[in-house]
Amino acid sequence: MRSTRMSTEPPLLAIEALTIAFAGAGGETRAVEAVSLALGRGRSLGLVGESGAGKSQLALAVPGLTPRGARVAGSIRFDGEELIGAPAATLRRLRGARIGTVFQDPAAALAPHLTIGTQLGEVLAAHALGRGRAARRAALAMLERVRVPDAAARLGQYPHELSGGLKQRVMLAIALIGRPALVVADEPTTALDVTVEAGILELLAELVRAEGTALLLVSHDLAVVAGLCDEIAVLYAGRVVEQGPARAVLAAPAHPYTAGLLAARLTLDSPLDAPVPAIPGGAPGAGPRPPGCGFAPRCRRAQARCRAAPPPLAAQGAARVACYLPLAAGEAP
Amino acid sequence: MRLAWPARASLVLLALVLVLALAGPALSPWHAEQLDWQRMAVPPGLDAGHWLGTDRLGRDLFVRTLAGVRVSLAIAGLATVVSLVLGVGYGAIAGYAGGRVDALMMRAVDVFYSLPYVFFVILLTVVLERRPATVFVAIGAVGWLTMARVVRGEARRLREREFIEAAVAAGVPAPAILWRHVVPNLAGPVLVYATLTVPALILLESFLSFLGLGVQEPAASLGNLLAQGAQEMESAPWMLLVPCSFLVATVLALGFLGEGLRDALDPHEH
Amino acid sequence: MTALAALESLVVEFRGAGRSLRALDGVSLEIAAGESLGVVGESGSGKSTLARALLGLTRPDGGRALYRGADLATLAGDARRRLRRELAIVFQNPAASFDPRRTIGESVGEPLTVHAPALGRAARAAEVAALLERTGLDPALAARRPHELSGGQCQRAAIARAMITRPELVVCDEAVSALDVSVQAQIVNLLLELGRERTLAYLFISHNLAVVRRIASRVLVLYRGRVVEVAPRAALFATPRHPYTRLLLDSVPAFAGPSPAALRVPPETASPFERARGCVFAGRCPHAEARCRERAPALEAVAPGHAVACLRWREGVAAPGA
Repeated sequence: MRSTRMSTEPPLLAIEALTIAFAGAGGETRAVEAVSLALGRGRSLGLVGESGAGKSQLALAVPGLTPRGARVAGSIRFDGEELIGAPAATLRRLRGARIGTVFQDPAAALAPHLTIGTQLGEVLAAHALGRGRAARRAALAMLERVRVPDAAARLGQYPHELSGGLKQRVMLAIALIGRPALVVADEPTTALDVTVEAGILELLAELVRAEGTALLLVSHDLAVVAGLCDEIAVLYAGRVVEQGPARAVLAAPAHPYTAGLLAARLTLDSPLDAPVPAIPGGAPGAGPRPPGCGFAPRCRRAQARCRAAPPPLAAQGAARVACYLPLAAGEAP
Repeated sequence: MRLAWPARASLVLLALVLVLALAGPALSPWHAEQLDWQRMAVPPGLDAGHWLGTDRLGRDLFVRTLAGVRVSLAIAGLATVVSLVLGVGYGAIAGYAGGRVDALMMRAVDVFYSLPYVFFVILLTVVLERRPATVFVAIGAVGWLTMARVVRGEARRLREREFIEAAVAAGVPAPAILWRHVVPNLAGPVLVYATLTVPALILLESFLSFLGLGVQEPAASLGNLLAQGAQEMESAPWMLLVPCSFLVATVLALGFLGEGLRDALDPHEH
Repeated sequence: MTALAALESLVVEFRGAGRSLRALDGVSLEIAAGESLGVVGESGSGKSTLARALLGLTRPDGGRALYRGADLATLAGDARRRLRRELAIVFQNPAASFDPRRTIGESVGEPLTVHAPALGRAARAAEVAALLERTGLDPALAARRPHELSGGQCQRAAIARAMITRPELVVCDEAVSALDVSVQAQIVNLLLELGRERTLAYLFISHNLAVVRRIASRVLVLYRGRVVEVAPRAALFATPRHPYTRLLLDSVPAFAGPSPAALRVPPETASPFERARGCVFAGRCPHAEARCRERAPALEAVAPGHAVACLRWREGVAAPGA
């Protein structure tokens, strides 16, 4: 078990006051608002939140996959290099070779008209990591590494001939074949069946452990993040509301939203005689948001100052919470 | 709806053409079939109000061309409306019904499509004689076919969407589903296609009239004006250029408008 | 007592390009009035086809779909209309189940135009408003279009539409799967309340075991078109008898990480176009023997209300860590 003491070396990924905003009919929507995060070499961070929280936008900004037309402010430093505003050539150099990306829907992310072998080879060729025979050998080795059965035959197959789980393994292979220092995984198992999910998660865990790859994982499923990540950052309405060691945060959440999310989750042990503890109201939609804490409209504990100005992230035990009235350990939201 | 500037400019141009076609003749002292014995085959100029010149028989080209534009637009416009009603109805039913009904209906369309068109028009002319109605039937008979195909494709796609299933599950009868859910959701592609049909039909009418199968003298249509103009091309080029310019401008403008509509409507839908 | 709705050895096949796919291969089930039956299955299990067959939206290729004892294929006219009134469905994708060109009010009220045509426009609007309120929506939303509502709001409207004809049975086809966790909780509560208030029967289809457990009193597990286990809730979750059920239980993501037992089971490699000669799960089952591949096991009674289709169920193949 990796220790959680603060590393003295500079983080591999340092995100500083990142804001991503989209212009819309009703005004600007801040998908990500002034988020600062750091990820050390070989460490894993899970971004958790519901739809509209901004977690995917945040994660995909790292390989520079923010949609056109978005206003991006702040800084993303990868291994000392600034990525925001970096020339296309820089991003191209990093993508695939140093930053790997795993997308949510493998059926959509894999090119339907190219064989698996060709797609793996594309990454290698793009970064001068091998061509021809050497590339084929590397591709084969990678497929075996991600435990695709009958790997040699698969190289010549097209994505539609593979099941969902296999496609996702291929995506992992493509993301990792360049031996990147960082892998960004955006909801990698959400589109998969639950009996296949466990295998993919375990594979991902093993691969990053073996290579010492850093992992930035996005998921709406707290359990997925808990099982895989050292640290967790909970996002709501574009802001980080709680952040810290995954086990600690999930065992004793300090932010009412985190606690509410945990309580609302149905598990195999949930009581059967009481209504499911739900968070009232709904997540904020597009458009400008009211001042103050994003969660205030839904929070039972909200006070005047919560609505006036957004709370800053402040230390609370081993974690950091953005709340004026954080929960004490074990307190219900 | 945000239309690209070529589409907006085209809209303005079309409006101008329409206004001109309707009100223009009032500006000129001449009528479309009036013969000016003194000024036959006169080039465009300010002389005696023949601003765009006259043809071989001394008829004012400005007024005559505008008359031609009216006729061509009327025929094409009316035929488009017919093709809309027929094509949408036919295509929606075929696409929604699916299975054998669909197959049968679309095979019929395929058969119609494969008929040699010019022979068909000649046959029609023999049967119905040379009347404006004949031209209209000839064009209408073809216009609806492609519309039906386009609509059938869209209807087939719509059938798979969940809100149609929800309506079926609620017990809504098929005709009501077609009318309330299928047809309104076809509006986008249909509108775009209709806008592109009009220029196609104008060209078709011109083609027929050029061949002598369409609108007959002394009535004017862009097609027979082009036919006459083509004969006089070397000696009196304006006789060709004037109707040609109007034809090209109108068809281009409709084309741009159709494309603009498609771009404006499609991304909204998805 | 006749069950409210039932499937008898239902077979549904999809044919195309020379091959055929058996979405449902001899499925039988019964739902009593006021009962909640959960159907658990992953992709390829045939669960959506099952929902449509029960509603009479899909013609079976074998077996029968029954409602109040009558074969759905034989129903016509008034009887068919009654079926549509008493059975309702809520789909997975909230916005997609609404016509994008019509307002929410029009869509929610549409079933009334078919089943209560005598109601005037005003009366219908009043019904719609009442139901929107009951499902936790502001009645003013009736004037909006689906794309203006959030996923949770759309799903509430879908439930309102399903309930407006006062049905006896509501099929929920992955009705909460596309929703955020906090919204899922709200919708689950709403479904439970409405079920109690109106004595509704539910057929609740989901791949999420935890959600099925909360809503259903009896659970049926589907795999590749066949029923592998059916049991009362407590029994299914405490003492499952089928290795696939055990795999499902083990696969639910837990904070401690993926379960080693779940990881031992390989993914399915057989094509959906191949019809399994023996047990459908034999290709993956850690306990499969030669006889499992030869003979398809029939559903055997384990206890009252609990049946399993496994040749080795007595040997404890579904015990934890087996």
